[in-house]
Amino acid sequence: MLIYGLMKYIEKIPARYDKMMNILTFGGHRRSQKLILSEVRPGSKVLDIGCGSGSLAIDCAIAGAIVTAVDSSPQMLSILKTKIKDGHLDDKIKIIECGSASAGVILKDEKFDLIIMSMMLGELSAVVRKKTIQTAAELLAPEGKIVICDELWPRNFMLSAVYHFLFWIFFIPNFILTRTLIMPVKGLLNDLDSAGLKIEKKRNLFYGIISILNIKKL
Amino acid sequence: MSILKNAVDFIINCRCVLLRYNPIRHECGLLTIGNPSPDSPVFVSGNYFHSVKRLIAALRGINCYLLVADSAGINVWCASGVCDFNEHKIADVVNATGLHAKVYHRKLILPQLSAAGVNLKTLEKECGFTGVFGPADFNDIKSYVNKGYCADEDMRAVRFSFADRFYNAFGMSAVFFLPVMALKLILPKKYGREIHFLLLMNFINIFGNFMLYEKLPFKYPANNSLLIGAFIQAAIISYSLVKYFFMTPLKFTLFLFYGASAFIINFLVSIDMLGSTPFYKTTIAHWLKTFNNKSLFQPLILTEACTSCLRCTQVCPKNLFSETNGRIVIDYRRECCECLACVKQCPSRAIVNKNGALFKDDIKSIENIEEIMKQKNDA
Repeated sequence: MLIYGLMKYIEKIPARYDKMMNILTFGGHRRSQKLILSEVRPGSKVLDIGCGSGSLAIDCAIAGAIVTAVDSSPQMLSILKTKIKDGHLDDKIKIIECGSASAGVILKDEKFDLIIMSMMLGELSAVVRKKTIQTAAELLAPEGKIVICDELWPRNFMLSAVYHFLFWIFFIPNFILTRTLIMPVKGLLNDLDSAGLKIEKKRNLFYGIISILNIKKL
Repeated sequence: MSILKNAVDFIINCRCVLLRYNPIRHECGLLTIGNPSPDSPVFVSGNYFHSVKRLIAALRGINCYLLVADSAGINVWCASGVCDFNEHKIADVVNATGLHAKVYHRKLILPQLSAAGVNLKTLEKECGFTGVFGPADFNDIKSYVNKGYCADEDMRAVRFSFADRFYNAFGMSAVFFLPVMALKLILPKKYGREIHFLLLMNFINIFGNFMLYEKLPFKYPANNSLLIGAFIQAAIISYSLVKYFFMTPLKFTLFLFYGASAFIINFLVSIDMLGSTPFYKTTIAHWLKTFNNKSLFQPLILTEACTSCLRCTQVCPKNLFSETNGRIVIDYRRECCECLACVKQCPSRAIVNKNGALFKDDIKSIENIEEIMKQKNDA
């Protein structure tokens, strides 16, 4: 029906992704990015897995870090490329187009001080998510830190039921606005355990709509 | 537990069939069909839920692996055109499922229609597996296997069988029926006749278009849809004239309602027909300007660059390319559908556009597409 028109509209979404995410999370997207940014030290090596249109990667580079940005969508990366060109950050950001679970194959000899995974784990299926976290653990320098920013699926049974209900209601607007189905991340703790990682600090924004996890090696 | 799982699968399948546009995802991963050994073939699929279930049914009897990669819950043809299904998504699942340890060989059989979005070179770099393209329709997989993993011309061609058309018509009509049924709940009972009229219009427009697909006079389905609309309008006018002269005249508002609602429904279906047929996809703007779905892209081979690797002959769903005496020739009598699989797959960038910079630009998976298209003028 009108879906064809909608499809045409959302085809152009990558360019508006950040704005849309901000609306969906009531401004939480931007605030969480600022919190992540506070972890960045000048001169440190940062890996942004699932960088998307790269607003966070750009901020990290401006803060003085050497950034490697990984994403599987050439559309998103082409927006990042223009941003890099406009900001004259060519020597600060390296772009790698590959899937998050295959990043280890491409970057196998490198280690990073800070690995960021912001609002991307929810888009992955369970097997790919597990492998992505394993990959991040392998690429992490011994004293390095992983920061995950995402919405976590609640472990409380009642809250979980409410989430199921809300998810089915917001299924359509979610898809229309962002073109991807962002599901809260399930079973993250098990994945972290099996990759030999532990949560060091957890901060919740907006009653847990977004959680920011600081993670280190065991 | 398995009864419960089957029941849930059945409900999701129903939702897929009824609401065609819902991008419902199947869990990604490696599925085993029968008793696969380390030599067994690995088929790759997107993760639209109902397609995966139908594919599993079609593969029954072959001992193989099925690798379900993320295509955002969309069919692979559309998904590969807009970068939702590409080599990275496949490599991720290969790496995540540890396929290397499960099979001796390093070959993946990809859906032919994913050729518009998958770069085989990068796929190999990221996961060590080489991709080959299988048949266009998964119902052909058994004969593909029986013929020694070789897709012949018939298997490579995109078809739109009666069963497929019925499946499409059923799925589309449910989407069009739902708003009308919602109206039925809201409006008072006295509007029952109007509601039934809207349902009838939806049914005639959608099933008329899909079921009579090849029988209708125009080549392009969206135009046929308009023709059906014209018949409906003629029927409404004759009905009101008969009423006027021989019975109690029709109320003018009702006449207006019949005419206008039939027109709107017909127009929406016409627009949907642009994207719902596998042969002549086009954009709304292009159709409104020209009233045809003709492909603007016309492949042209730069003979000095072509290495006759035959890749284009393996991926074209309309079989435009063939090999004669070691050279690729294009049969222009067969109509191109502008999926650009040939451009994406050509390793030497030898396929350019006869019409230069004139193309529909709805395929987003090819880097520097404007430059490739313009190449003809430079050549």
